[in-house]
Amino acid sequence: MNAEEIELDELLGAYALDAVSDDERRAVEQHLLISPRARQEVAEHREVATMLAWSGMSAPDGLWDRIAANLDTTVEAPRPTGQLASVLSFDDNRRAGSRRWSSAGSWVAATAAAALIAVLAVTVIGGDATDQQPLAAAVSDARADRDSRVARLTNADGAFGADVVIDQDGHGYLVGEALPTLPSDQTYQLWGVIGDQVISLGVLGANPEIELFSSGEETISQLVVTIEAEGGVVSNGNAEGAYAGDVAPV
Amino acid sequence: MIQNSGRSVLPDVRDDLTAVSDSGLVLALARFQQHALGEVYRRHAGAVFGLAKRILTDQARAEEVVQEVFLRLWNHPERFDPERGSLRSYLLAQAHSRSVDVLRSEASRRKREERDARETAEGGYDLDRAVWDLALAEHVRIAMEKLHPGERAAVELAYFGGRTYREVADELGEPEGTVKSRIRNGLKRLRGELASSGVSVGDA
Repeated sequence: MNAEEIELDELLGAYALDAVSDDERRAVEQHLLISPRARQEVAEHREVATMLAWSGMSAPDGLWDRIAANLDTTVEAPRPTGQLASVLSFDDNRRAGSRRWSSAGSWVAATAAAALIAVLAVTVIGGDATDQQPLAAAVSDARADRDSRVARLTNADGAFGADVVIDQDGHGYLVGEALPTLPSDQTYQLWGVIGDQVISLGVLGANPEIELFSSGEETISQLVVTIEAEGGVVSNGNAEGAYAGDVAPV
Repeated sequence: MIQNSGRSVLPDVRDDLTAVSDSGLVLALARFQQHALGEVYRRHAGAVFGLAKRILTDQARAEEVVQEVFLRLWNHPERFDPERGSLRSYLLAQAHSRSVDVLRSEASRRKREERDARETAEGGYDLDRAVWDLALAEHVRIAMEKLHPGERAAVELAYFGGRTYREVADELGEPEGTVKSRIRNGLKRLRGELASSGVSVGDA
């Protein structure tokens, strides 16, 4: 650790409490980009501040109503492009509360009719709960890397399902906390679109958290999570309830 | 979980959201899941408002900060990274930063100083809250008391006073480097004290 890093480390407490100048704040934020240890320390300081802030107060009457009245519900949900867009048709008159793909269709069936489906072995990916902490750190690092690519997967109703980040080495991380837990006889399955092929990237289980997959050296343009019977399928995924999204630069 | 049931102020929340994790709620916002934002508000708006009110000592400005914090979460849920801390911590950091911005404008500072002169106790702990809340507040108070007085003063002036560490140094007549270290070491010591008394961050 050089002298500048030591100096920046000394600022971490004051930074966490917004007690630094603008120049110092920018310098610390640059430091945080390259130092996971410093990021961890700031997170810990902020969690302590969280407890100091506990006042036991309630928000004033009527405040929620004012916030709710100001919510912008007209912004369009992310819309898949490319191959997925060609197999999923959209209602262009989307509005808040009524946004949905006019026909969820069968993206896999349509793709099968139009192109090849290359099938990889169905593999069970991810790990047990004890593996989540290092995975979470890896996700954080991958998100901070400008060479990584990301995707947000939504279903036909526009509801969010999962975040995905793929690092420059092709290691993919699916953060699936928002996916509803399935019955034990069902599983989520992850698919990737590579060129004109749709391949299975693995079976996620009924309650995905952070799941690791590999895209190898191939560039995945879109990702889809489907709901399948336990064990998954080797082709022709189920379009009903699927979540899909484009893979784009960070 | 803090229960605020029966208050008309609170948003309508679907029962099935009350068991969802904070991270899951943020993902579920997806720009259009207003009920998810309502549940986030139910869980954390009191703390966000309490912090803004304590820093700004002004009800209307504190309410504006709360609105800004929740609207920002609604418009940019992707800015919350669950790997870097809890949702409450994220929201409070947003509220603190915004409150300090407001406070540091000269007009706000004058207004605060005028108000400080006539207002003392308002904004403190609500003693009618659940026993659990009081226990947490008590643990925090005890932990603060165990700090070196210089550390305690530096942390309080920086966090609740909205001062920079340089302003704190001026106010306390201490070298800037000393104050910088006291804030950092004070926060570390607080974390240790709270952990040894059995309080974890997830409790707040």
